[in-house]
Amino acid sequence: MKYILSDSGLKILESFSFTQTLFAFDFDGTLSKIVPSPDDAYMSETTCDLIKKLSKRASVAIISGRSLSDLKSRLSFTPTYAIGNHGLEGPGKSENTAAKAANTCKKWKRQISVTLKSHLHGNGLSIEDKTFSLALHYRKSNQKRKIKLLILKAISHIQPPPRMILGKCVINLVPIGGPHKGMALVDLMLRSNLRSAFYIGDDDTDEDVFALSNMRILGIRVGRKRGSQAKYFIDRQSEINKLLRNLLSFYDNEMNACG
Amino acid sequence: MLVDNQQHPVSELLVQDLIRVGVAIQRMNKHFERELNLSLVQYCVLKCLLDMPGISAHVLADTVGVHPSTLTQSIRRLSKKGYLFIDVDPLDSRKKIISITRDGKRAIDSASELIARSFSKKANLRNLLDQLKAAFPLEGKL
Repeated sequence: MKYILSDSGLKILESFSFTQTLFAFDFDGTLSKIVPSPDDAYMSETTCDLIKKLSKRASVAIISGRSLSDLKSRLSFTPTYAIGNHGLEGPGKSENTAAKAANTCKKWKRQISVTLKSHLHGNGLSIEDKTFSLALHYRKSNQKRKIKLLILKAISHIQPPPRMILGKCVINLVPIGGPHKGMALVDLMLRSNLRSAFYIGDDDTDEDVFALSNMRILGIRVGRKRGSQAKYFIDRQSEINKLLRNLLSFYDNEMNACG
Repeated sequence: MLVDNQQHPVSELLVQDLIRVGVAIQRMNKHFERELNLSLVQYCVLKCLLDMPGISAHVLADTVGVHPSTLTQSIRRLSKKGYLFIDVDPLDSRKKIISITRDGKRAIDSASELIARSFSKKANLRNLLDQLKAAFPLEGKL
């Protein structure tokens, strides 16, 4: 992996601003910092201002594991595209697929609630029902490792078997065979007829994008991680503003050059 | 055997025309290199890079439709002019990735205007040949 804010990294980044590129962002841990409670996640005013400016110059997408309604409630602007539930919610998504996912999630929630009943209160474990997927949060737990093992054990018994996407102190359950963030991004590129894309995300849920073997997609991970399929990284979430400023400067330089 | 009205076989005429085309293309390239500091191959390379930033040399050669050895020379020249830069693929140090620079983009933008003016958009092969011959006349008969 290479640091995208290095001299050579910025050159690559700039070259993506020369063509019609879709700029796509994960939300939690990327545009907003990770917080103990998912309900408290927000974008800073500076980040919001910068991404609004970017959205006036280029197509911007936010692709999140949050439900679409939850995601939109945390954005004070309207991006070109907003995708929720790891790709299950958004423009052109199949209602049939969504309905099946919702039904599956209800079954999972019932099963897990029974299995983990004694751990659901006071142990820092919570189940977030996102209608089309579930998220099991354990950030607030004092025994994260133990709780994680309990969750994994509970998940191993539920039917139908889910696809697990591990995040930072969260385990996401999505239906097997359902869309993921990578598919969502490619779908957006086709939909918008944009041949290149930039994507930045911070955890394993974003590896579905980084793993796409498409050289038209510039993948950036928040925080360097061994084994990540992302080619580039920024050191920490707080560098997102610097990244956005650089992107804006490329567009501003282009405008100035044109006169 | 088909012949023209001066009894030359058609195949011989075709060969002569093809040679003239080849010579005209060389002249055209020189013309563009003088006017734009870019040959047509270099122009095509930059156009591809504009559309596909950060690609490998292998994909670039396939897309432009030239032999990799031809591309190597073009890449070297364009890098020297500051129109593109080459970096190591962050995930595979054996591979190189290539991107266009801001100067390269400016060069492409200028070149595209001249090229659009120089050629008719819907030229078929015969029209293109006629235009080439008219624009770049031979100094002597073959």
